[in-house]
Amino acid sequence: MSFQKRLSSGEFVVLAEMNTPKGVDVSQLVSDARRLKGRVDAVVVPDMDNGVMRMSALAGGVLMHQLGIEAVIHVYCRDRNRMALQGDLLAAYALGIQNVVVVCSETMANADHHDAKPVNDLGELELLGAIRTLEGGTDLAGIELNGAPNFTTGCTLAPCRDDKAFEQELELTRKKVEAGAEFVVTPPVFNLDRFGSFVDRAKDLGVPIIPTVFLIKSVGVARYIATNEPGAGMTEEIIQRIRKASDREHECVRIAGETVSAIKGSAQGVRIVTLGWEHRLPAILDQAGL
Amino acid sequence: MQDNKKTNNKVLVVGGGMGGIRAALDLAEAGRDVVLIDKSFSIGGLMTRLDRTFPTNNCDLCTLSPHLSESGRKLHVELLTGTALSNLDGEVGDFTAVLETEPRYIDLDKCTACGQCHEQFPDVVRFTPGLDHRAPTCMRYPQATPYAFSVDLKRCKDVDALVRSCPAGAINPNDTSKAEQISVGSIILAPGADLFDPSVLDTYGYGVHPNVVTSMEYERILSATGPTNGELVRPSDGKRPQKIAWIQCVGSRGIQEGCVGYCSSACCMYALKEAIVTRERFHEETETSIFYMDMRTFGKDYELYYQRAKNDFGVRLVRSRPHSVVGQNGTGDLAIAYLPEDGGPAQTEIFDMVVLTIGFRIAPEVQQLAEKIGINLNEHGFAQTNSFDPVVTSKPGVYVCGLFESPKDIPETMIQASAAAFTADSDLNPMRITSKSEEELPPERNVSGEGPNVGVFICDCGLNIGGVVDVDKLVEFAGKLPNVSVAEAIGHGCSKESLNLVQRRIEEKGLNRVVVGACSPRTHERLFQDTVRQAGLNKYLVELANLRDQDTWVHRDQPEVAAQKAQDLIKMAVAAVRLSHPLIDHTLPMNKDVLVVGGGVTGMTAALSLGDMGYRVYLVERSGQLGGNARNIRKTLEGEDVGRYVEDLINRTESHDQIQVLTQSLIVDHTGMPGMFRTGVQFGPQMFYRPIRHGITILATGALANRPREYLLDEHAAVMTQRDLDNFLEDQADKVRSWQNVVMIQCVGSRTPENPNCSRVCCQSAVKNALRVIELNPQARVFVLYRDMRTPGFEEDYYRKARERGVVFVNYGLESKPSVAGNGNGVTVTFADPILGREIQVAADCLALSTGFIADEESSEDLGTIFRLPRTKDAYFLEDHIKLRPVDLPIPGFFVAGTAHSPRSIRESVAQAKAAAGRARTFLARDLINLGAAVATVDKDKCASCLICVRACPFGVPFINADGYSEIDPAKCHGCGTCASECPAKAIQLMQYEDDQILAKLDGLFERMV
Repeated sequence: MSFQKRLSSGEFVVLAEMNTPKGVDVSQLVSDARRLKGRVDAVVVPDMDNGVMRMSALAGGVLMHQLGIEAVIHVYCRDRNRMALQGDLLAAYALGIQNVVVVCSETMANADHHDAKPVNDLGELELLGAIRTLEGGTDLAGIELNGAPNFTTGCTLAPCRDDKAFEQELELTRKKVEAGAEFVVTPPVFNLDRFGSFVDRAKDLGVPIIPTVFLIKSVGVARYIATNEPGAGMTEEIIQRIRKASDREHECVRIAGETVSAIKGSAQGVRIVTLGWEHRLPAILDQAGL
Repeated sequence: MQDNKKTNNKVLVVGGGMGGIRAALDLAEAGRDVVLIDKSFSIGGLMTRLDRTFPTNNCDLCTLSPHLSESGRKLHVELLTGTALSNLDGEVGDFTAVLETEPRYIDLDKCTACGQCHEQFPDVVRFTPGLDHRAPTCMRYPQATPYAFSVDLKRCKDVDALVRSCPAGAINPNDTSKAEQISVGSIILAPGADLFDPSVLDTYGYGVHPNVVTSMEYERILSATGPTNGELVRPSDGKRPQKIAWIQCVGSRGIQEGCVGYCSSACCMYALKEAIVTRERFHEETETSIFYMDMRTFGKDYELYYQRAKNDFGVRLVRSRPHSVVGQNGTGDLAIAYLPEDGGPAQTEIFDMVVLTIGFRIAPEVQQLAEKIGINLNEHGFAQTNSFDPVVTSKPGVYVCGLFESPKDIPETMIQASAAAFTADSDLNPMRITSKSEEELPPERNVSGEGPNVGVFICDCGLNIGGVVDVDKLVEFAGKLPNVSVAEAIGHGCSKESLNLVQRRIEEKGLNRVVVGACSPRTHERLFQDTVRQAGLNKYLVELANLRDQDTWVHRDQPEVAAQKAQDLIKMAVAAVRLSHPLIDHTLPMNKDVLVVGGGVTGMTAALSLGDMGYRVYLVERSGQLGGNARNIRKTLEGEDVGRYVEDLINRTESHDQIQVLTQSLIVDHTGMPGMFRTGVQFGPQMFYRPIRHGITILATGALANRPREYLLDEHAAVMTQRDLDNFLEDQADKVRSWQNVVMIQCVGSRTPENPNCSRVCCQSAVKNALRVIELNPQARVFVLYRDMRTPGFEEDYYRKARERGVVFVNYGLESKPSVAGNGNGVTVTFADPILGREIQVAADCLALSTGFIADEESSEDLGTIFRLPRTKDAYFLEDHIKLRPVDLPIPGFFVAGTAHSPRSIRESVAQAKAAAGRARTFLARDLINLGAAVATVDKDKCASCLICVRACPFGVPFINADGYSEIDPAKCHGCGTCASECPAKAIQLMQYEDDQILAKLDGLFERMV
């Protein structure tokens, strides 16, 4: 069953994130992806939205498609104007990519090309609108398309420091849904209690919620999140659990797997993010019983 | 980057002590040519006179000696003993040095150190004379380098007889002193220091009472190679002393005639060591008391050593500086008069022996040399340097390390030596290293198809082997073993002459296997491997029988058993060598990129040092900005501006072409081996993962500024840390001017059960801040409550200055800590004054706590787990050898510097950062990684693809290949042998340790028994 069908029939969808290489050697990406075939519903391919120049998501998505794996690619506004965005969306669809997520992007200051010019011709809401316009058969200039795409489109809900910020973010997300987003990808879950109340509040968005499970790789990473992202809900318990483990890497995989299976009941899907440790994805799925 | 001016590429190292040797070896390993000179006739300096070294109580000679004689190094190091630098012209890159060499009267190439001349003319021939006033001919140490005697011709009455006494014809009475001019690019001064001669002090009776000895003389008395052969006896009557006293700071930290004001830094530790060794060997029979002013055990884990001395060994410690030592008429006993710590009346105590703990002095001739070549000295006659460049003298191109820079112990000397070597190296033109040894070697002879033709060569190693077993008989026995065509005694096998003989025999007799009955392969295998290789044999065709360490040393008192075992060892070696076959060392290209973890002063200094040399550096910092702890320090004790220095470092680092700075970056995984590491870094708020490939790693992860919840810190505005006060003094000087009383408490959160070590920097911070308070506000009264004031070296000058300016220093013990209570805008501090014997209350406007460092336990554990590095109990990284390799970590290719190693000052951190860069450079200079030949290989015909090796390998190397059998990549194999021992089909063999060789050895061993 396709990603879109599972989503619309309310079944639990499993997404795994895989990054394209900085360079043209795709062998690692391909071999990691092969091992997931049949085990995930789709692979999410981020673009350069995190500020690191590398192979575009379009190419990554096409590679997945060639392997027979459904892809969800990121689209964002910092690096392309409305012409490029529309063109790439058409290209993606023509090459077999049916799912996109509109994401926000890091500022150039945090990018590996500080001097690059930001574009931001459209905003996220406008981009969602643009996708809907293309699906309606015209481009943003109102000119008729020779064949229109039909995407399953998602959006994101950004991590929030506190309750007030969360209210605002929820409001913004509601607008994104109104603008056409059919599912919402939400931030990493570290604390299941907090996640419960989060789901309750996000429910009335009326579209499937797909929370993220982030593979912590070391005590250092856990501590970093605890210190720098107070809203993420990293707990001292998790840090101590990793510290005490005899095989820390394995413990991190277990924590990720347990989190995946714990949220299965309360959300419509999960996005598993391993950032560099894609070879660990099968183990996380094993752990989660998927 | 340096400009491309043509420089002379040689470095002159003056002084062959620990520091000079380390510097010379580092340079040689980095491919530089070095001239190492020493004024005495054998190198090794002060350390070779020590019985053992703290804190491990090891004898470190065996760790040092092999480095001195390693043959590969000889290609780059020219050693000139009996030689001094007499003049220096020119400038950096192009110096002309005049070296004057005293006649040795012995031809080094011919001398085998057989000892004949020494036996017959003990007054004339020195191994190294003058080191012990009781035994003018004693050996400095049995493994002297160069391994040869020297002659004092002035004392010789019959020159002809002396010449005739030498069987090797090495004595040349016509030898003259020579002066030679050499061109060098840069110079390292490592002349060391002299020890203070306490006979100038009349109150301690040194030179009057025979039982008053210096600490170095006591060291010699304890030493097995010393004048008493290790027997603890007192000089006056040869009796074993029951009660020994040490008096600290003799000639140091004093203002009277003949004394110096500075602290000699190393003496507290070595007095403790001498007392511990004494207690260890003689237990309750000998009481040991140390009279001290402050116990300065500030180095890595030194505080623990101090606690062990007190608690485990029962060394008695008396805080008092004795006034005098008085002889007790004719008994040889000595009375020490002192004022006890608690303020009671003067006491007199009788001891059998008194040890004066003496410190360091710069020799007048060193000071003259310094002046002549134009480098500035400080007021104490040491080389003047600054905190941010501790090994750089005032003259460009001339560097300094060790005691001549400031009084210090061995690890800090080794650190500076590597730092000086690196800095001297970077003055010279960059060079490409080609391995000289490979180029000059003859082609390897093909021995396949030849039957084994074994030569057995047996050393006597002086008396080490020859004194216990009859070498000639052993040779005769060896000659009868199967396939042995040559068996010969070769005296000192490691001497040049013996090695030449071995090579001649290989060529003459067509030997294709060699056994050397000698010492440990650990130290000498490489030498003999090189020897056979130069004679055209593959280096794996030689086998060492460890006659010395495994036989004659351990069975010294049972010569018959030893003789039997020697035969067994030789038989085993012959049996094994017959089956050995030529092996090829596997090599891989060296990745020359560098990973520096930690972006504080240490990390940036290391990165800039290597970046300037043209290496690509990745600098990974977990926080959002560079600078580390030093960002919060404004001034050094000496008044240097730390803020500007750090800012400059940050700017240079961030704008450096060769350095990639990754902030907010975390290390998450690590694989590979030295020369080809791969480390996964997660960086930025985006947590982007990026693998970094690099050849070596420098850990400069620092420590945390401690902030314990004590004494109302963070609860009352008047309570701050010394760091806070440092900033306060700069930013809010006006407020300081209104203060009346300032109290400082030392050792807050350090030297406690939770954080047992000394934080090293807080005493000087307190002195620094006290002086600045007084300067801003001369009316203010400053009280420093301390446990021991630890201001080593020239920091002592500032401590003295603080006392002169009226700062009140009051001692407290862990059992009577001060108490603090809020009192309006200020606090009231209550403490016991041991001299007045009562409690005192001070209403303080400011209470500054000396909080020091604490290791970042969690993150060092995290990194330690990822990199598989060991740590100390208090979570600092543990170096490979606490004395001799203070920046090398136990995993090759890893180096540590700064407060990740131990609490230390900026000055020490900078030195260690450069040292780490220097040690790294010795790796990076190579083009290839030698993997050795000990790798596992699979016999595919026997392999059943059972996967046992795949599971057994701790490094995950074996895999079942497309042809269906296990494959082991030699580039990844660590040679541990686990798979070879697990393989049920015996399909895996570990090269160099193959089953048939081991079985042959066992057959050789057990033949006698069946």
